[in-house]
Amino acid sequence: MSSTKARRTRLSLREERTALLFIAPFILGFLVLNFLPLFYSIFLSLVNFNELGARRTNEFIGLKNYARIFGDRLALAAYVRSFYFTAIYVGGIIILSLFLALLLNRSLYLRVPCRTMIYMPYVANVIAVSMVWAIVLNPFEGPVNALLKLFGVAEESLPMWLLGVKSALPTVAAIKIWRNLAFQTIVFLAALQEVPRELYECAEIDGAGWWKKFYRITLPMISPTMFFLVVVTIIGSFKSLALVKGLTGGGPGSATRIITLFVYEQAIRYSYYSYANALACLLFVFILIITLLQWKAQKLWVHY
Amino acid sequence: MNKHVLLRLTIAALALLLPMAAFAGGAQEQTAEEEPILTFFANSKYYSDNTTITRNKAFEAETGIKVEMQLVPGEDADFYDKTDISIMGGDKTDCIRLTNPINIARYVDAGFLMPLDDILAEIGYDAEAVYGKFLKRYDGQLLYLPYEQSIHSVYFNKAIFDSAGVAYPQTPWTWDDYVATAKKLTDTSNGVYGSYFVNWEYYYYMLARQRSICAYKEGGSSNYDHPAFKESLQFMNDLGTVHKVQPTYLEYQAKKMQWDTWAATGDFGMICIGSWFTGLLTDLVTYPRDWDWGIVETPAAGANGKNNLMAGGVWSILKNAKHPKNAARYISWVSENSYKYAGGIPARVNLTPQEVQDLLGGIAEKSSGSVTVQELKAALLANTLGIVDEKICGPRVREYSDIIAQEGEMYLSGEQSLDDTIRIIKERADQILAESSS
Repeated sequence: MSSTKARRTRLSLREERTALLFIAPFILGFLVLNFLPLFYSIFLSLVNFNELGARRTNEFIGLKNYARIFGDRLALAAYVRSFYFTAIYVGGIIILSLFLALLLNRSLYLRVPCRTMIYMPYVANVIAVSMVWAIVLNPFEGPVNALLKLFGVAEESLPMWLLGVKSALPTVAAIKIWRNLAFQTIVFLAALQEVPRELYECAEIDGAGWWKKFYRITLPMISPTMFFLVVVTIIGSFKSLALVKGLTGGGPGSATRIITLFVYEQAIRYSYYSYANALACLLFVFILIITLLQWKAQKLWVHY
Repeated sequence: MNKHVLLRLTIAALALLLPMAAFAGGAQEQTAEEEPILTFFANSKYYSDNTTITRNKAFEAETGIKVEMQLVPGEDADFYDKTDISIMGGDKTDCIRLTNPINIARYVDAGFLMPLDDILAEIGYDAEAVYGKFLKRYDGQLLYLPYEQSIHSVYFNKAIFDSAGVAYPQTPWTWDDYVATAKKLTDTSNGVYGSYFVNWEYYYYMLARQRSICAYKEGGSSNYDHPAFKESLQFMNDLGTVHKVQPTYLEYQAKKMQWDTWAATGDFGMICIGSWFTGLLTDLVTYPRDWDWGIVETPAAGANGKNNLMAGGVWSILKNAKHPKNAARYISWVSENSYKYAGGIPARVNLTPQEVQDLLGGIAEKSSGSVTVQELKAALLANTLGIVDEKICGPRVREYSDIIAQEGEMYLSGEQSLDDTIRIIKERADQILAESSS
């Protein structure tokens, strides 16, 4: 009996070692490519690496870079813009992707081509997307405003889209929604297809209408998926950079200078490497707090 | 330890170590005798430019040193953002071309450039004799060689003048004359505008520079509250929105107009730009055209603004250069000879009158009869205008310039009043300058 137990222990030990060997490349990659840069970023935010090349001193200055953020109105405005952008983007993409998934989950004429078309922007190159939208939304010669004019919108009321200070950020958010819609839609679709048909049949027997079925069955059943999507979409939204840089470069003025672009400029353009890392670390803290709050709040609306 | 586990660990270790060994193999010790290779950073446009390729081939034929361009995607600011990181990361590329005073100041400040006196002496090159007054020293050290003087002038499209029945510009003239001429040329029903200014921030303060107004006060704060800066920004705005002689700022942005749109389209009457622009107008492969062009001196900014704008590009050797001697040969050769391939005016003091005549004659010849040597000389070299730097220059100049660009953009797009714009530029610039001095 004891020799069997010992053999089993040796076997499980060997299996554990093999398992460790298999996950070692990932662990190593994670440590080198994620963990170390994270700590290096925190370290950089505490020193004075705010000059290019030979002029940098690298002396330890504690929290001075963090204190500087709260006196920098441009940095604070960039954080606020990021929150505004996230509110539009996350709200828009969750509602729209759920709507599309509901449509695609039904018997729909040309369902396969529709799915393909929804997925196409997701694999398109960001810069190509930026170019195309800049042409489409050209306020003077673009087809969108030409169409609006045909519908009787007065010349002076036509939106400036990416060139208007008030309209630029929502326009960028809308383009990002269009581009990333596919991922959310596919995940929602998978969740919808997992909802047991019997639940709907029972509800129908009880006389429930479309809205009641959606509100009482669909939403609770897909709530874990929705929770996952909301969390990853918020994180992804705060990290947006390429599309904003490609579409507006932060302009007009600073209207679309969200915090990631601001961090990029502080580091790469002006060589304030430590200050940029402090900004990025603070953004990390904000995202962490938001994620923790969501984690706590899930008890109120997520049904496992 | 189990034999199989040991084997797996060995394979895993090899798999990790082999790529590292391969990367480590890339770093080679510099030998006393350099291999006949020279490398420099080139942006996308420069990399594929016909004149760059032809010029490099000429250098290779003359010296036997092979030129390898290190392609860095992006243009201007993006290009230098990337080269900054490469150099800090220990990149061993030999040379870089710095195209404007802002980038030159940054690279000098950062200590990225190799002092040239010793290395030039080693190859027997006398820079003083060639560039004289155009050389600049930092703490007594020579850090770069100038390859051009980019002198501003107004280029005009003769076909547009002829078709509008307007006489070619007469000099000396002022910006009021320029606007009056542009108005006569503008025919928006045919898509023709009399004027074109590239959306570069130094045009926002062009009139102030022509009057030699500095962007910094003596105490080190911003001088942007000087009335000349306000007048200059308003002038740039009025060209599009009041006089309607060129596309408005918003149209310019919406149509994604570029620095070479004037040469590429033939839809604009005049453009005021540096003499490097002759390189575009004489390159009929990249910019084919069926119209002639002319050239006249830059208009004066009133009685106290009789100055022309000038900038200059330079070639330098990077501090980590792998082939410093080859780099010295290249930058001295290219700085002397660049104008023969790309057009423009070299920053040389040793050109004989005959060489000046040949230089201008070469441009005139390549212009396919558009301009004469006398016209080029009058516009670029022999006129009544003084010379000032086209860009502001001083502490935190890159941020200062970006502030001017960002806030100027707000005014030009109609989102911010002129007074607010000037006030905000001054406040923001004062803030960064105060941080810089503390």
